[in-house]
Parts: sequence; C-alpha cells; structure tokens
Amino acid sequence: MTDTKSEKPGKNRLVDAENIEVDNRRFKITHYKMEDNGQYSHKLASDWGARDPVVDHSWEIIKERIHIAKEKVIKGEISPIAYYMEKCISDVKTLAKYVGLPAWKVKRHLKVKVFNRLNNEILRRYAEFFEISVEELKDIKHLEL
Amino acid sequence: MKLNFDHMQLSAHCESGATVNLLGYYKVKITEPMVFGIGAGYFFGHLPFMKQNYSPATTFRALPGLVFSRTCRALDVKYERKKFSDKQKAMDELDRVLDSGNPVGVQVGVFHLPFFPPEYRMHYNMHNMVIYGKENNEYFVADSVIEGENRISYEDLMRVRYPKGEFAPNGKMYHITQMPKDIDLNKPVIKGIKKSCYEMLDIPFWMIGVKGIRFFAKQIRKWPVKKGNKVASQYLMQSILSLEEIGTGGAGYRYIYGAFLNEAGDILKRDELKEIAVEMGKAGDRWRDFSYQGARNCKNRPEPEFSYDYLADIIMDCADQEEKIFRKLKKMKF
Repeated sequence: MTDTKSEKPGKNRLVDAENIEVDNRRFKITHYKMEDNGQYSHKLASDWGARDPVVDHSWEIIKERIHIAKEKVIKGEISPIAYYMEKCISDVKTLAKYVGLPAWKVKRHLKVKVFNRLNNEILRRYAEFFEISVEELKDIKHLEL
Repeated sequence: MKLNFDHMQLSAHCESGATVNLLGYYKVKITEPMVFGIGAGYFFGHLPFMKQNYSPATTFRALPGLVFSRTCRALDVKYERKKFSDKQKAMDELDRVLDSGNPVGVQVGVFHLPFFPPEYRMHYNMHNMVIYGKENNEYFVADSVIEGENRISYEDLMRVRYPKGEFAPNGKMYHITQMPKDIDLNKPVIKGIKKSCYEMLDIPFWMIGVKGIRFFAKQIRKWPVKKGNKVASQYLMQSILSLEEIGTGGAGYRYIYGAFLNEAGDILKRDELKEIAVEMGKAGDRWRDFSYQGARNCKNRPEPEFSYDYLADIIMDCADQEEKIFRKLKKMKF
C-alpha cells in the first residue's frame, strides 16, 4: 500500500488512487451530537454511523473508472492521458486548468491519433501533473503488466 | 521562528476552525459553533450545473472565506486578506506576516496536501488552515481538522496554495491586523441569526435555501428514472459525502448550528432559542436518517434497498422542519 506522502516522503507524492486501501478507522474528525436533554456535545470519532459503505463506494466508482480507462488504453482506443487523468481523480476541466490548455484541446488529446502527434513541450506539461516522465507517459506497454 | 500556538482547538469545519485558532492567538475565547453561527455559515444549495466528481454538487456551507470575514466584521476585528498572481510574492508575503508575529490563515487545495488522509485527497480547493511558524524551510501548520502538529515544506506549501480547478484560491491568505478592546457577542449573534434567516428563506433563487432543499428532493425522485440505478446511487453517494463527511460535524452542519443556537440562548438569555436548538437537532437527526438509509443504497445492488421516493420524502420533511425553524427565528424580536 503506497498511499500517503507522510509515510513515504520523496518522489511520488500523489495518492495512488488505483491501489488505495481506505483505512476507515485511522482518521478521526470532530462530530457534534445532540444529547437527550437538549444539550450539545462533540467528540472525535472516525465514523458517524454508516461511513464505510459510502466512502468505499466512492472509491469503487473511481477505481472502476480507472480500470475501464486502462483497458481502453491497452486496446488502443484512447490515449494514455485519459488513463492518467482518471488516476489523478480529475476530469477534463480540472486537467485543462493544470496543464494550462483550453478544455477542448485536452479533450482532443484523449484521441490516440492526436496524442501521437503531440510535441514534447505539451507532453511535458501533462507528465508534470501526473508526476511521471514523458517516456512513461508515452509507453503503453508497461500498463499491460 | 515559531509562534506560541498551544491553544489549538480541533474542530469539524475547517474554516470556522481556522478562525477560532486565529482569534485564539489574540486571547479570544470563542467556540467553533459560535464562529460558525456568527459567520452565518449555515446554507443549502443544490447546484446540478456544477459537477463534483461527475455528480451534481450539493453544498451545505457558505462560500469559502465568508465565515471568516463575516465573523471578523461582526466582532469589529480588522483583518487583511490577499490574493496573489505571483507564487513567489505570495510566499514572501506569508514570511513577512509571520515575522511580524501574526499567524496566517491560508486557503489551500487538498489534492497535494501531504498530511491529509489519502481518502479525502480529491480536487477540493476550499480547505483552510493556519500557519504559525517557520523553521528550516518547513512551516508549522495548525490544521483544525487533523490531530497533532503538522509540518509542510516550502515547495509543498507553494503547491497547495496554487491548485487549479473550481474555487482556486490563488494563494489566498488572511490575517488579523487589529483587535478591538473588548469583544461583545450579543450583537454579532443576532446579526448572524438574521443573516442565516435571510439566506435560507429569502434569496430568490430556487436552488438555494429551503427552496433548494425542496428542489433537491424533487431531483432525487428524478435520478433513477432519468439516469438509472447505478448513476443514481453515485449521485446519492456524493450528496451523502458532502452531507456527512467533508468537515460538517454531522448532518450537514445542522448539529453545529444547533449547538450555536443553544449557546446563543445562554448569551442572549432567551429560552426560546434553546427550544429552537432542540428542533434544529431534530432536523439534524432527520438528515442523519437520510444518510443512514441512503448509505444502504450505496452498495452495488441491482435494486435499491430504499426507494428514492422514500428518501425524497425524508428530505421534504427536513425542508418543512427547517422552514419552521427559520420562520420562528425570523419572527423573534431581539
């Protein structure tokens, strides 16, 4: 499990959304509550009652989306950018802001044909956000492992 | 250098918590619900045109920054708030204010925030924390949501201050410049209540306030018909996440607000407020029901366990209760 930066300082600082295992009991936040006598109290708790299914479900959806994107990339239907975009839990709009391009261009870059023609500068910008090297971004084969 | 910051309080809502911690440095004893109420953080909005994680956004809080600025203005505290287009300048200014002996609140995005729990590190740009010291390229952070003393490196801080996407903070930072001689809570409390009443009842837009809650209920009924069960459960999950998870203190700030009304009853010496606080707690319990039962639908099931009509009825009930509460509050003469 390679999830937090605090545990693993150094290079890879993004959350590995693909292999994340949510530890539902580690993190505690303040919860307020009304007592029976009408007074309010608050305490630290990791759960409000039904946290696990909701958080698990939210990650399941993200993981499923990443998985679908990965399959498609391996089949050659969409460009690797789509896979890494899902891996960084972002959508076209957010990604476009990070790489400094208009959203319609980023959308085009999801096509394999357009992706293959991209110049290094643009690829570098994407790779920077995904925290990988340009070679890794271009290389589809290592995804199949 | 490191400022004396041993009064740090943990809280549920990050911005109220940051405000509490900032005020606490200047020897103001104030609780989180009080700040939340005075800053009129109570809100509802269901905005289907804004997507959060591919789902319509539901918000239970006021826009980021409002709680701090409203609280300061109501308490007659002078503050300074800045945004920067240049990253370097933003960091220099932060150092300068720290050196002058003032803790600084910053708005950051949590996606790159190292000490944040991994399951919450989405592209969410409205997190607030207080910086109170610097040592060897590392900053001391008082994050009111996270336990313990946290540190963040210069590069990381620069990065989290400049995330992109919805509500990008652009290095927004704020600090208190001048404190009033004494702090009187009577007037600010009344002002906060009035503001919340206005926001919940009188804003002429159908996605906001009590009307917004009803609109939300109607939308819930439509989800399974229009989008199918799978997408509906995803939408439901997202709304429960914003209702219970992201620093709301439970039931979408309803419990915090109840605590505020209870405290306000003590300050203004009005027993009606305490009764209303109990009603608010009951409304919170109703929202809690919604999240409990909605959570059952969030497992991968072909058929939902509770029908969406049933869930929508709960929300309608919440809307009725809240409307009653705020009509009462609005009628109260102070």
